[in-house]
Amino acid sequence: MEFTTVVEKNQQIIKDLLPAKDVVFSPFKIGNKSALVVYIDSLCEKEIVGELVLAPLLKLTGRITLQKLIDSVCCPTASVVPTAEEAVSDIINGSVIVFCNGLKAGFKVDMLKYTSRAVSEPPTAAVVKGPREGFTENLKTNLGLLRRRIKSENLMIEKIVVGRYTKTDVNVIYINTIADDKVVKKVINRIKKMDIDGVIDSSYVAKFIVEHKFSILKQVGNTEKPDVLTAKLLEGRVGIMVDGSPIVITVPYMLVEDFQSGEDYFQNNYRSNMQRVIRFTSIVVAICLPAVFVSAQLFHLQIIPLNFLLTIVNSIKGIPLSPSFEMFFTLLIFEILNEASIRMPKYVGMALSIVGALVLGDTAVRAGIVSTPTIMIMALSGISLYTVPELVDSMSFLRLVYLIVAGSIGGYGLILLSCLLIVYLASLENFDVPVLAPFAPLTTEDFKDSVLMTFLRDMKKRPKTLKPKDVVRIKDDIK
Amino acid sequence: MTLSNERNKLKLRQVCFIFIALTPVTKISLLPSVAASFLEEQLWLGLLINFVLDFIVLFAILLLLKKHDNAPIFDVVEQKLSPTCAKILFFLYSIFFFLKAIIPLLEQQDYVQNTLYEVTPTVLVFLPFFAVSFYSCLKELKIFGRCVDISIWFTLLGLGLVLFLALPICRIERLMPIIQKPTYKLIKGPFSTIIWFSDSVYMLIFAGHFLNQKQRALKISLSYLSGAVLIIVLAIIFYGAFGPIAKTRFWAIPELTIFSIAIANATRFDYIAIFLLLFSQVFAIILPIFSSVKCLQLALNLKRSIIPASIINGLLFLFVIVFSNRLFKVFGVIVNVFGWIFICFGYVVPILLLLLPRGTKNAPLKA
Repeated sequence: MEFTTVVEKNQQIIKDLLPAKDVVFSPFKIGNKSALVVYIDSLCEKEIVGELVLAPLLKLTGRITLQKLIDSVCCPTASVVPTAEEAVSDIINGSVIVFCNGLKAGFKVDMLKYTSRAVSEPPTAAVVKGPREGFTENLKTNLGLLRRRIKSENLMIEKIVVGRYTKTDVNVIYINTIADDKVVKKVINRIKKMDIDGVIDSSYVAKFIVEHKFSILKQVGNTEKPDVLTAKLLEGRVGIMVDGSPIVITVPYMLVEDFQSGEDYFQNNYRSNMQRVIRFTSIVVAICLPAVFVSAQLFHLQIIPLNFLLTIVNSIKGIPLSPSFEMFFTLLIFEILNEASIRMPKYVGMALSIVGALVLGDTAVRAGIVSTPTIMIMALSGISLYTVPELVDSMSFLRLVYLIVAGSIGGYGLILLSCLLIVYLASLENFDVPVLAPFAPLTTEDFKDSVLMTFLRDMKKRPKTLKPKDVVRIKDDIK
Repeated sequence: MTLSNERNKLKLRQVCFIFIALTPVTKISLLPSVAASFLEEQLWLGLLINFVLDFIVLFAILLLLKKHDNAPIFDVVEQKLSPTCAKILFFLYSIFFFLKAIIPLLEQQDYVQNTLYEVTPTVLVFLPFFAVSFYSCLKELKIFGRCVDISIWFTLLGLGLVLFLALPICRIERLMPIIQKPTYKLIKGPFSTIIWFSDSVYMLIFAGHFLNQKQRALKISLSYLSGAVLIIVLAIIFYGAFGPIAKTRFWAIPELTIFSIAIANATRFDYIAIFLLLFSQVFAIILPIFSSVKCLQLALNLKRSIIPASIINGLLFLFVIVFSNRLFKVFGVIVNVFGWIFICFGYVVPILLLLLPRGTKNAPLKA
């Protein structure tokens, strides 16, 4: 719908299209002509609108043209708004629209007020050494944090608006001289195909761009830290930043990247390698230890050392539950405590720890419901899982499956389940990149940064699995 | 009709790993004691003969690949003879691989029950194997290759640990004299253990479905030889450890490690090796089933493998239920009644395929 040259009529047009009560229509005069400024109160700062838009306009004299109005305001983003639909969309997005009698169009000035929390260290990725900045819910702040780290003309940011109601800005970020064009194209196409009422968080986008919606394993990487995103972009990955979400998605995803911490690259290499081995071992312990313990008790007593077997026998005397139910019961309590500790207000968290860990655990053992070794095994498994927080979701589910199989089929069942899992994981690919790379398919070149990592100076090439356009990372080493 | 496109091909490394990591692990459970029962001190010579025969076939198939520019054998036969011939041949190979899978399957079932389940042995424990097998058979060759990329570490670690624990109890003089009379045993022995061999035939399935790389023949041959050496060394240590009573020690791996001093002092940590090797053995047993499914898929000209996978796995499932705990009877029947099938399809046919003329009949062959 087109505007008229009469301000009052334009006001009515906007009111018809945007009947919300928080839309401000403020009449004023430019010279001797009537004018109108329209904006949403909660999205724009009144003082800044007055100072940057209205004040220069009030000073104008002589013949009034649209271009003269645009030139007078102190904002480079000011531009003409020819139709009412565009004007409404801009108002919703935080723009101020100005109309003047005698002019058949308005002009807009982007005045969106950003209210967000300060940049702080993300709770999920705290480090001892290294940058502590984390992304916030504010897209512009996040882009600024990234731009400050990659000062290159090759850093590309493609903006896509998704969500019929939320009209959320989704930015696809990549370095065009490194990232594989096919992956970039696929990501953009899949996001553009999203037809959803709203995008609340980046995880919404993640669920739409993945290839296997039933996958038990996550299929996109994510980070809350600009330094980690920078490193991933430099490896050839593509980032997806969503307005309103502090978590940035990265694709293609490989399982091994969750075992890599940003800190690994900042501290002593030997220490980093040790920590990586611990992380890998911990995940195996977290998934398999309860299952192995149960299957050993039920089917393979011969694999338990004699002294430990005696301890177990002494501690399970009088326990009414079978080993598998006992472990399942303990796991259930652990998951309940875990869930409650996340949801519960912080000030009762301490009480929960005392009640859960000390009172409940100790009382359950004293009451003869569960045995001490079971509590110990479950505690070890639970703690081990959190060495790789990114995998907690899928691995806690797998732990349960392993436990059920161990309790019903025993050790051979665990082997079969592992084989099934390997076949499943080996067949998982995202954006043509195998999830299990560099282990399957074996890519020896990428082993420099996998279970063990070599010195940073020796990582001369980007990961081959990601098919980067520019393979070379370090051109010439210091002699 | 083909099993793979350019993106879904195996890598040459994965083919090599199959010969190092998968085919040897089917020979480490029962074969050493069976070979010892036929050949006693000469068991390693019998195994050597089996391996040499297999290597000749492997060499013939590699020549065949060279001759036809790494084209799929199905396409070669289809073009040089006729589509019907190709389908019949691959249908027969499907039966061959089906038979080849039977003994390792029953062997594993017995092995699992006897070695792992001292408390509650039951056939039900083994049956979930077919879920893994069926799922694997639905996947492409490259997925199987990726699984091999992982299982090779399990095989090497497992075998390494077993050899390390067993070496101190081996007395090499028990293998003397090298040649013992009557020498006809050296013919009967390898024939009786033939069902564990003829692994070179897998190359007929892989042909045209792996990426052609430099020194292909050399790499595959060396891999095969490495696998063979591992098994012969294990057999020597096995007989060196038990001597004349080796034939009564059915399950070589747990028997070899249980007497280690390290285990006596600590606990049965040799189970780590047993479980590691079991992981590879699962894939090794799936390999002939997978090959049978793929041959049937080609023979029936099907795009997807769900029907052949259901047929082959279903039949084997029934077979295991019916013949559970009858390993040695089935072994006797297969060797005595179907032994000629192994000779025919494992050795004669691959060599005869070499006689197919080079060049094209209709269109050029594509790898």
